[in-house]
Amino acid sequence: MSDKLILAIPSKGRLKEKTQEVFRLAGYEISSPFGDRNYRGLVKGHENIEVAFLSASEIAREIARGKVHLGVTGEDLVKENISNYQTYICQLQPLGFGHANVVIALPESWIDVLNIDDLDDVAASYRKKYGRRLRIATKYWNLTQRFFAQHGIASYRIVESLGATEGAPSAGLADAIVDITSTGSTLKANHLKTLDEGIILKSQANLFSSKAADWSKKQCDCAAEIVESLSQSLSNNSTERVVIEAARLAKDSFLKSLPS
Amino acid sequence: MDLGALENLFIKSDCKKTEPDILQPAEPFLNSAGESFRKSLFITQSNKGQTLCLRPEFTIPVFLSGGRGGGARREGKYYYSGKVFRQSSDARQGALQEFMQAGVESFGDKNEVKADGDIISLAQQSVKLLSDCEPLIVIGDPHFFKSLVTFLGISNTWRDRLLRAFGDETLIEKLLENMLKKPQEEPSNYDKDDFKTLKDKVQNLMIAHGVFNVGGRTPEDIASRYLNKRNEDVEINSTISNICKEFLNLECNNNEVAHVLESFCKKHNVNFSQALDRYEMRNEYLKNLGAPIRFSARFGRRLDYYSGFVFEIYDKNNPQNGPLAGGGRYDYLSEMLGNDPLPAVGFSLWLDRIGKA
Repeated sequence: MSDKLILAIPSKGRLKEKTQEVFRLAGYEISSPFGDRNYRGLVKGHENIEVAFLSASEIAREIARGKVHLGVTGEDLVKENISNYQTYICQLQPLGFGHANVVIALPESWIDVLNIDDLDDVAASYRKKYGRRLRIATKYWNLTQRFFAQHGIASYRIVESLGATEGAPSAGLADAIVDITSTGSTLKANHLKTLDEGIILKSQANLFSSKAADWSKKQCDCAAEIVESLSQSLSNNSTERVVIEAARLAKDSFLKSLPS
Repeated sequence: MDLGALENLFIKSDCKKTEPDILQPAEPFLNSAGESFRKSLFITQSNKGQTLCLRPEFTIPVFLSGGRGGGARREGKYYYSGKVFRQSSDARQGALQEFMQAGVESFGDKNEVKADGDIISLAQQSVKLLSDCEPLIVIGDPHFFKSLVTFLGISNTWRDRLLRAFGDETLIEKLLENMLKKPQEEPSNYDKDDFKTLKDKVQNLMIAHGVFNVGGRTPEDIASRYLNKRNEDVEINSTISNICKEFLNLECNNNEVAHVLESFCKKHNVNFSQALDRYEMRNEYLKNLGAPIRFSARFGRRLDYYSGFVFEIYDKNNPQNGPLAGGGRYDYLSEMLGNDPLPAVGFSLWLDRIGKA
């Protein structure tokens, strides 16, 4: 078996660029020697690392399955798609980019709804008034269910929406939505508003390690080195408190996550 | 475990056998128990696109096996036994996901307190038949709390919130705290509007935003809820919240219920007489049960179709093992599933637990 450490990073777009930049600053120059369309990469001067370019949601899944050792992806994808993710995945270090919030948004015309308790009231009255339950359009089934359960809201139904979720209320497909937003401008353009306490998850790109993968001594050492360099470089270059605080703990939590 | 003897007991009590399918449409469960129930279901899809699930319980399948429509055709008592399937929220390997249940559902009995009493009695006989443990029955009745919050003059909004949370101790405690916080009044463009102006404004917003869809919230609904909230004189003091807490902590033997509740009423100047009359009428049918009964003021079930009293039976010496049987009155189920109203009461036995008791 190969003794290389497998590092998964996003295969396209801003997430890919930003990831490469963060790694470069930490001394890991990721290259694609087999061409831009190839999904394997290398790190200059570190022959023991193999880079896999994957889509962000595949990365979450492959870390959980133990097919890759380290990976960069969004918190939202891990927390939404991997049940009991703590069992399989260790969240090591926020990377300071890819910020977005998963939020509840509802029509601006609902002037009577300002917070979660209001939404609960409205949800509870739906059946009596409209003969059906309040419908929430989202692709975040699990995050939505967990959040609503925490707030004691039971009376609602989820309508699956895989794209253009923000259009669901005006299309009459749903009453409100749960969606990810970075600036909020898409919501505003669709006349949707957010609520006090209505942020379900503050997400950003993170470095994760797999608890499900096989770890050889070599791979551990290699990963520990990456985590340490990355954390050091981030705490020097970042202004974000969460990033810097996590950097202090990243290597410890990585070592603790390994099977003893 | 002698399930044959249990079947004989059910037949002797005028129950008819019913055998609902293991594979059920998922919609009725999600619709009546809400989205939060989804994570407990084993869901699959037919190739016609219908969402199906392994039955997670028997009440709804037994009800639906009576076909559509309501009324006389469905009336009667039915018994069942078989497996139910629930996804465990317990992440540990080997957590149980298949459970053996048996039980009885009684539909359409107009003498409700007697039907309640019969069901408790049958549940307790079943437990006795199947195990040597000493049963302890616990009864709860949401009507007392309902009268209490009405008498205390809590605003409609908070009253409804408390009633919805009844049965969930953590949630209700949180509400009783939140109730005391002064709401943050933000100045808004609508502060001086009357109903008509407000309704028109909402309507115009909807038209301008293109969300004037059929079947969504109406401008009337939004305007009137806004005004209700504005006009509610939210002056909830800690006395009210403390009375609620004191009530929810009440617990006593069943034969002391009248005494305990009456002295509570006297102390706080509230009145339970209607709920208490009904409770005492039910007690008439529980006199010869031969098992201890406890009353718990906070015991309820947060399911929209439960309408009245609920009960559970425990092993008196090992209550920590969980209930051996549970049941209650659920008069709202029939309408919720799109049928005519039909009074309904029933119970389920957790046979795996009874086997160990």
